[in-house]
Amino acid sequence: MSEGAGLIVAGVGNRYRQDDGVGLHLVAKYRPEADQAVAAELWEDFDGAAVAHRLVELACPVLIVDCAEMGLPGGAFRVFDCREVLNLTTGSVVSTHGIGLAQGIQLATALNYTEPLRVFAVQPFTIGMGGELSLAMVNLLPELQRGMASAVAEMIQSRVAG
Amino acid sequence: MSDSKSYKIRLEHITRVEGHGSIRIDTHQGKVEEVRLEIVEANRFFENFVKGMQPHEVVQTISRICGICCVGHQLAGLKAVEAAMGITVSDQTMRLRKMLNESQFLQSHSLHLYFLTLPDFFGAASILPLAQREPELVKRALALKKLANDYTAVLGGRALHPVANTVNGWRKLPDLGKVEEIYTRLLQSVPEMEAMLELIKTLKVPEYERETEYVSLKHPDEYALYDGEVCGSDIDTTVPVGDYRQVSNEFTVAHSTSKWSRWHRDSYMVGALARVNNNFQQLHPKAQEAAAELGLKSPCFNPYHNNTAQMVEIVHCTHNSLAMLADLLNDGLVEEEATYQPVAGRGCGAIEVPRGILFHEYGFDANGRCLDANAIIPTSQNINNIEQDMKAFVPLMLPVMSQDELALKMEMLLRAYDPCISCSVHMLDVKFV
Repeated sequence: MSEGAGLIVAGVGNRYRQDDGVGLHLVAKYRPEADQAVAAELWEDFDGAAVAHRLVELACPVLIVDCAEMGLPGGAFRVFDCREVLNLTTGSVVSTHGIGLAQGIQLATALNYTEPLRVFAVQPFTIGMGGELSLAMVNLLPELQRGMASAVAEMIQSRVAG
Repeated sequence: MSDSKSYKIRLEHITRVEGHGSIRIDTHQGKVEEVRLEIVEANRFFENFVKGMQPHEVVQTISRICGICCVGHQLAGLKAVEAAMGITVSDQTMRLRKMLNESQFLQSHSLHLYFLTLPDFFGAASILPLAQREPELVKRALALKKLANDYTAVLGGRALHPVANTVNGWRKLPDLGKVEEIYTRLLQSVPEMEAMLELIKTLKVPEYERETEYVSLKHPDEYALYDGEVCGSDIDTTVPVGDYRQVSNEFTVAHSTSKWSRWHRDSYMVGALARVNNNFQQLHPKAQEAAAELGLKSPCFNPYHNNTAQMVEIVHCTHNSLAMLADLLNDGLVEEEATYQPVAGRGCGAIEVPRGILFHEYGFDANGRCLDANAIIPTSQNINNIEQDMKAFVPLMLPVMSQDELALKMEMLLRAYDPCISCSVHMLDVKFV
């Protein structure tokens, strides 16, 4: 149950597209061991509009875990804050039907979603047809889980400190 | 003074449409010199990708032509593959597919109307500034879109590129508990849909008319979305789907990477307005009432009213889906074996998708390997008609419109058709000699 949780960790991606599903894998593994104040959700095949809808509905801090092309070596990860994500959008126009994650977050903020939001982004090794993560990614999962747990802890801490 | 008007309008990479297209208008001293809709997106080779694939693989792959019309591509592909294999699906499969198709209409039409069209009417550059000005309206839009996504996911296993439906049946039947939840949520959404209708009623749709040929499926027993024969408003009979090439008559022009189509006139229109014009009497009674409230009378020759027709179809699909879901809950589901034996054959399938009629055709060898494929997309059928509309609109409105106003109306005209340009450039015939 997400209601009443202090922080939501949400996995997004496509589990049928190899490493694109890494966010779903990480959050599904994290779910049983999540801190009491944290709820884990799988936002599977959410488009940007669905992300915006869920953020506005939750109105609480969120860590989104996703695969992202960042030009880094495969398996590397970075944590982006909301401002950095919003800088990824190209301005005030939405150029295709498909509203992406960054635009979904931008839409939620336009609808007064003001809670802390971060994105834990993982560089894929490979994206293509197939229901399994690449072997290289599988080997890195423990490290990624630790990285994600730190990002969660940091968000909880900054919440308490704030 | 209109005769002194010399405009150079260049709308490069028009926003709030899917894919990349540009509009070019040149007028000199009140005379129109050039009006062109340029499709500049690269070709995507889908018909060649699927060669050599097995029938069920073809269907999953071809749906990747588009993330918006993925359900439609799957369903048209399934119908064509099954025609080639000589398969007749069960009533249960047919019924689930009809619901799946309507869920896509709800997703796509609500996205188009709220996210892509409304900003023009509110003088906003996009949904983002509109969200700041009209947050309740945008929250309502998000809720409706999410509901439609969930409707697709409950039936097809995923909101985008569903995986449950396959050749001759369903890999995994929907969970009836979730179907019941969707039924309840859809029922609860009716007041939201009516609020949307009230909003659409207030929009000032540009006044413009040009009669064209309206092409859609037609079915004797229902508002044709899933099945039927091809109907053109210029003829009294219908054409079997297998003769679709007689309808589309595809040809190329230098300024478009998408093919163009024409039938009995220079161009024809497909999509919501064509369907409403051709099949008005078969709309759900609530949708007919909605049309009356919106002032949409059949036949309507104003292409901007394609948006109005989309709203009418949202009403139709909501009420029709409620009835189908209630029947499904009442009758339950039975496990059926979704298997097939590949055979040599050729088949065509057609279905209405939100943007209009979609044709697929495949040939297979005796091992079930795909030999060739053809997909004719609604937007590629519409592009010629959009340019004809622009060519008629510009000289008519030049005397009374500023350059900015004319440019905006051209963008709105293109958006009214809800074009999916990425779909329209899905293919290229490559012949190695």
